[in-house]
Amino acid sequence: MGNIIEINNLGKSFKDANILININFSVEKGKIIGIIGRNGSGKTVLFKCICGLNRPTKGTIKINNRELGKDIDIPDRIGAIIENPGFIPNYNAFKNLKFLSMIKNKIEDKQILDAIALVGLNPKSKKHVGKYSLGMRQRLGIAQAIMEDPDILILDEPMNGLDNDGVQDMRRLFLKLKEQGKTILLASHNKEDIEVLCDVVYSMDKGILKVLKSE
Amino acid sequence: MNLIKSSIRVCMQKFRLSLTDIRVWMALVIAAIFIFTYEKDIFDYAQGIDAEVTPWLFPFLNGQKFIRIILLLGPVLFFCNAPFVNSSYIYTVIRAGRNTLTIGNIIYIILFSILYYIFIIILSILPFVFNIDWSFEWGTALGTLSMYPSENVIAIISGKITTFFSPLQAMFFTFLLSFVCSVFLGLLIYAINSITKTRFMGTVTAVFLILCEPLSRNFIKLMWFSPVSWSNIDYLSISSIDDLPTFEFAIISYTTIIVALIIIIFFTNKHSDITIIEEE
Repeated sequence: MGNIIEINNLGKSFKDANILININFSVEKGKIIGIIGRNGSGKTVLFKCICGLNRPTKGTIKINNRELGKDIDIPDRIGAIIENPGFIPNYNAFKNLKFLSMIKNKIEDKQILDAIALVGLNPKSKKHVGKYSLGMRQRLGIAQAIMEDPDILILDEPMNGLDNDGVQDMRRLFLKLKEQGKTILLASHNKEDIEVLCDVVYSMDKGILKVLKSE
Repeated sequence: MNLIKSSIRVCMQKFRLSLTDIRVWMALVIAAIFIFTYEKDIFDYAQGIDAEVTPWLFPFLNGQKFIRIILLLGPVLFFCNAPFVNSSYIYTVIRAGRNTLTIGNIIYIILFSILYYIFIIILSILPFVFNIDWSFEWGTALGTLSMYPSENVIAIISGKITTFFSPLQAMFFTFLLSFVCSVFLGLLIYAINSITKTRFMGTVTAVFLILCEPLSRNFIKLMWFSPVSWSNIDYLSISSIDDLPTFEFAIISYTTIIVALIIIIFFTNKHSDITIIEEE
């Protein structure tokens, strides 16, 4: 399998602070890549760069051989959770995801309902997302990321706020998605999640990426 | 073609959100109250002289300073949070892409401006719809008030408008210039908020332009530099005798400024980082 993501000499600075320093790595299609690091190490900024939300100060990011910021603005067929999932508080789960799905207009209501059920939420619940716990919002964030059947999943701390059962459910889900050929980038400060799920593991500390485990 | 379709979907998404936005309803209710109060005197006056009022009141809403500011603040309130970042913005960007999102936001500003002024026109007629003379002339009441203002009527019925414009002409030009001014204000807020990466600098600038506009009435030369003034046909030159900006100047200037703002918006949004707003 080829590399679906290639990052070369990536750097990102905000004002005088270097957040990412010479990041180099590639991601093979169909693998789960883990990045472990403390809060503030640069994981989220890296993921935002890969999603096209942040413009690198230097270096290149290629997704399926297409360079971000040059050939494409935002990668195609990508699903992501970045930081805490945000939704429209006075809409219920289905309405929130339906609202988002209307932009590409490529999926039916059934796929939205299936995605909500897959993450352990009640797809027919009328409860407004504003009243959800952090764990429920996290699950809805994952549903949002997977509902349109993306090829690449960028998941920033996806287990945040989940109880033990929720963590186990999501681990099973991610492994199932991997079997379907999805490529997953997963960031966490929890070592156990990374060890159980990931084929390759990196550590991030003060913007520098190091290999901890390779295939 | 796909880009246009996706942009329109983004625009429709914003409209759906607007329906639940309290600011939108507040602005429309405030506009309704002020228009009704402003026009009531005209209808009372017309009853006093045993005449009916024709439906062509919209061009005269700009005549009174306070009403004009209230109506101009409507678009500022609608567009104050441009580029319309909300709690699920990041998910919208990932699906739509930067260019589609920007085009969708611009289409939203344009369509919302059109709908706002259609609403204002309807509001100007609706409260008195059963007491209106459906004629294509200015009518006795408006014609008389334009020549002989009454101290019991706060509305200012411009003699210049009734003399040099037919009602349909005045309605058309006022609608066109008001809508374009609203688009200008929306894009100005969008551009300045994008450049400064704030949620208020654009609004401050737009409000400043609106509040300074009455000053330009005292200094005619300032009107050439006051985009908000150009939306009032009473402040445009009819003959070559006066020093006022012409209609052609207003349209060309608005078009130039709007194109420049669109370029700024595209350039800024293409190269900037997208910031996620935390839910309050």
